Amino acid sequence: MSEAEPTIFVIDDDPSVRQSLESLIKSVGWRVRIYGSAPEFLGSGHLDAPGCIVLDVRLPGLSGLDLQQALLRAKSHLPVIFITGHGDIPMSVQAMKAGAVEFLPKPFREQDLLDALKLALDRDRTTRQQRAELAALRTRYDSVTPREQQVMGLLVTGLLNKEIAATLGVSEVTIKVHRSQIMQKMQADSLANLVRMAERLGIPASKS
Amino acid sequence: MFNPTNYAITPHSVGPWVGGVLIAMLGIAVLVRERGSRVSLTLCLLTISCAIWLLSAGTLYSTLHEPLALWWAKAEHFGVVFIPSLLLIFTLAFVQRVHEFRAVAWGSLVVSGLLYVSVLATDRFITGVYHYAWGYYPRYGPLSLPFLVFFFSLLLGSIRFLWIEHTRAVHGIPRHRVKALLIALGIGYWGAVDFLGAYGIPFYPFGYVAVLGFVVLMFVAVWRYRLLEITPALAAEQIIDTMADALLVLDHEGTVRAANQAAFQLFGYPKAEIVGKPIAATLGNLFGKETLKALADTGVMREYETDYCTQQGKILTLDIMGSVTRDLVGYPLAFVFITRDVTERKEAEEALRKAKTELAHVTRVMTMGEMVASIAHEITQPLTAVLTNGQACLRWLARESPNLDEAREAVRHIIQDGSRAGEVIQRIRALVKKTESESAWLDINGVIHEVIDLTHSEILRNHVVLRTDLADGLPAVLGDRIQLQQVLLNLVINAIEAMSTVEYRRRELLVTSHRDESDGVVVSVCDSGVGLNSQEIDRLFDAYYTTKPHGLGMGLSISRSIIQAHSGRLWATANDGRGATLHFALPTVQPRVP
Repeated sequence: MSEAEPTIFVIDDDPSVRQSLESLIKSVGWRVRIYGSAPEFLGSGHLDAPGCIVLDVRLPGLSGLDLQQALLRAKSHLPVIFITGHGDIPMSVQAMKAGAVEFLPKPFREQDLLDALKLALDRDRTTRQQRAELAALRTRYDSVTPREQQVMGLLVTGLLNKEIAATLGVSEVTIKVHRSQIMQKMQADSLANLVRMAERLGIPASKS
Repeated sequence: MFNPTNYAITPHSVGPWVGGVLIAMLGIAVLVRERGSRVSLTLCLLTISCAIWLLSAGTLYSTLHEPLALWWAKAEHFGVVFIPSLLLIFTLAFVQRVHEFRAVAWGSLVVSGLLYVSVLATDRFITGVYHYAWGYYPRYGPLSLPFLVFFFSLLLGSIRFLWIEHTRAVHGIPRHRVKALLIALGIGYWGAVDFLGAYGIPFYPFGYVAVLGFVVLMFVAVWRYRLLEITPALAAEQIIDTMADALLVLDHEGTVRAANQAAFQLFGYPKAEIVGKPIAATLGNLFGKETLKALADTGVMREYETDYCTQQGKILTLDIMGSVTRDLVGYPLAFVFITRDVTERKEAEEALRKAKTELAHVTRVMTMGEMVASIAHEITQPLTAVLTNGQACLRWLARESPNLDEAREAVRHIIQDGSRAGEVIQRIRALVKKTESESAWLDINGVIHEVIDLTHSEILRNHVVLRTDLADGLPAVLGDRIQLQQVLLNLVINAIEAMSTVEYRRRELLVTSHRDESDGVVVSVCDSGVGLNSQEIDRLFDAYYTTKPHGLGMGLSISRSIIQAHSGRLWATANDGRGATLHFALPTVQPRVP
């Protein structure tokens, strides 16, 4: 399957519901895969695939909520839309707290489901993009030498070159060389840009 | 003969005379005390033959002349020859086997008669008289030998009959009575020593002493135990008058020959209008020609229930039993009808049945109420599928190039799911509907599947894992589908509830069906819940007994009465490991091939 095209994973023990969702989702033009139980999905190897999950709360054996927890533990970022035949409130609260996109009581309006699916897929795409960017940023940061990282830490706190030189006990020229290396390696076109990158990487601003 | 100069009374005569008088008194006393019975009549005849022997013998000893002595000896034998046959007949009457041995009884009497003819007509039996110290005594000739054989054979025969009766009799009065009679006879038969003198052996004839012993013992026995078994025939009139049921006796032409007070009251006719009149004039509807003919053919009529409108216009339910009395060739002589008014019982039964149906319905509805969330889910599922497929169908059609195959497939599923939802609703409606019981041949596995479908959500909701092990090829059971579903539903819900507090173990529900040679088909519902102790098992099926905080305690009690109404049984067992199993067995009768 292509990395780019998202798939919607439907997990429901009721064959009729499963089939109808498959047909509806296909009619909208999305890719869909159906599963009868939670373990069946866990064994499918699609935990990292792009897309989202439509999950029945009550499944025999491992329940929908159990599966949601299992996905979190497995660091799967697939957004989950819950559907349930017994719209009970405590469950929906628990599901939403654990990060579910939507909690739809059966029978639902198809538009609500499609909206939720759209939202989930958007969210998946966004988070996937963010994670990709972060990963790229981290790779760049990893290519920066330890000394340069030290300089960068001081740089993003807003210190001037000579202040940094004084702090580290080296010449201002040396700092300038480090700085241009950092800007190049991090592909930052301005100091402001570098500061944002450092924030995203969670680099603490050094004091001394 | 009546000239006193021919006699000189000796002390030897006194014994036989006293014996004779006493034994005759015994016979008459018994006849008076137990009047009318065959046993007392035959005993009386026996005592009279003994009395003839003893009184004549006593007189014989006091006789002075030989010709007169010979006359008394022959008179004496009028009693003696009949003693064995009358004893046999008395014994047969006593053990109530006269009918069986009627020919033997008559034969023995004839032999006795012939023997007496030989006494009178020839001098080969009594050839003359001896004169002993105690007086004259008969002298036996060759014809006496067959008599002795006859005498002792019948003696042994009688004792044998009594012995058989003795071994057969249960404890208590009948056994005591036979035993007393055996002892009395054993003593009385020592009187046979009197035969010795007749063959020239001068042995004093103390037979009267034995007879006196017999008399005393018989008196005691009759006094204490009575001879007569009180039989229904003895008290027929009292029984008929006391009967609460109406009795009608008809002859073969359909004329009423007898009726009791209860009959006049029940049917509302006075005696004069019924007795002696043809039945057709009054109760022709109830006891018509066809009824009589059918009864004549079958011989007995039982559990025949019919409605009858009295003259006062009241509708009664009658239970009629009938039987036939036949003559020797089997032609019906009389028809006996016993009629019982079961109106009140019927009404009570009907009321009870209605109350039971009502109660079963109420508990069913309550069970369904407890499951309402799960039931809603059972309808929600197909409904969701219908709606989703409908939308999908619209979307397939609304495409730039409509995908008809997918649309058609979606519609096909809509129809399927729609009918599935319909089935669920029908099943629920059947369970909550108030219906009269209806019996049909059922596949028990089908019933199990329906209940499992219905409880599917309830099982999921409680995190229970369901397993089934249903035997193939089970014979059909005759029963009411809804009631059996109710029982099974009750067992499954109970099992789920029993496991609701189980936290760190698998909650497992196992439903099985199998064939059992003795019980027919057995269905078991096994849980891994808290289980039952023996005290709980004992009380489980009592009404109002419950282990649940919100239970009414009616479920299992009603389930059991439903199963019992199906001629089956419902019972509980504790599991080896954890939890309990409830079983019910239903009898299987192969349906008749139409």
